[in-house]
Amino acid sequence: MNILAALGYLSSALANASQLSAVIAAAQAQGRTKLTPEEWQPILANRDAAIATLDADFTTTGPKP
Amino acid sequence: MIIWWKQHGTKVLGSLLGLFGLIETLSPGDITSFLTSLFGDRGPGIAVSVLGWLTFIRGFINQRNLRALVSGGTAAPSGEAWKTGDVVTRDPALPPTPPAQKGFTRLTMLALLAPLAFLVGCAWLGLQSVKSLDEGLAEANVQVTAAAQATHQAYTTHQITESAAQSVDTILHQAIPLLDAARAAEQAGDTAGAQRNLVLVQSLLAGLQTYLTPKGGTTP
Repeated sequence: MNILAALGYLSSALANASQLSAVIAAAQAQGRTKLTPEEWQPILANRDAAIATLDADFTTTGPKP
Repeated sequence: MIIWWKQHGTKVLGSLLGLFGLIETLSPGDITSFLTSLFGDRGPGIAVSVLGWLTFIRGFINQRNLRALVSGGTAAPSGEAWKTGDVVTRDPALPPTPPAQKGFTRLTMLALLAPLAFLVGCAWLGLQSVKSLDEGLAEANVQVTAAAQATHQAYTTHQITESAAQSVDTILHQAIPLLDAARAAEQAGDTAGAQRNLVLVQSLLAGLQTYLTPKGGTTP
């Protein structure tokens, strides 16, 4: 993988980690070590959406490099 | 106060490092969380670096005192400037000063401190768990999201080939059931099972990270 792709990965990881960090900090501020279902929901939804988007790239209608 | 610090500074710094190491060993994560709450995310690293550096500096100064003792002189009061090979004798007309720490005492202390400092360093570098299982699972899910988003972006902008993108997609599809199983196990009270699945996912993601590392700017 070339360096631009790797940088894209790092950038995306950083953005997602920042969001998670805020969620975890909020939970810790309330003295919790577990996330609530409401806090889990966007994490799982984002994950499934990202995977679905990537899957769609490999369908017959997806982009071809 | 300054004289007291010169005499006891190494003991204070060493004791703090030792205390950190002991607490971190007995109760992993506590001291890291405490330092993080005081100084932010970089707190543990900053605290350990400052304590370790100051202890090292004081030990280094002591080495010069020790060399002077071995070569037949007397130990200089702490903080006095020394040059290599100096033999210093004290002017008897001067008023008495508090005794400086003897060299071997500090060397022994440093030898005792080394493994404790090592423990603290290992803890800070992540050789112990600072996150709850739930937070670890959330983090792994977020890493999967980031990998999928970045791969999609790289593929659609023609930075990687279809086979490379599909390889990443395959790995992510292996990780997701493990993550879901881990979360289900955790909710069912099976912490050990959840931890096992999480470790598997982390192995997959670590392999993916290696794959994503640039290799001279070439496209696989």
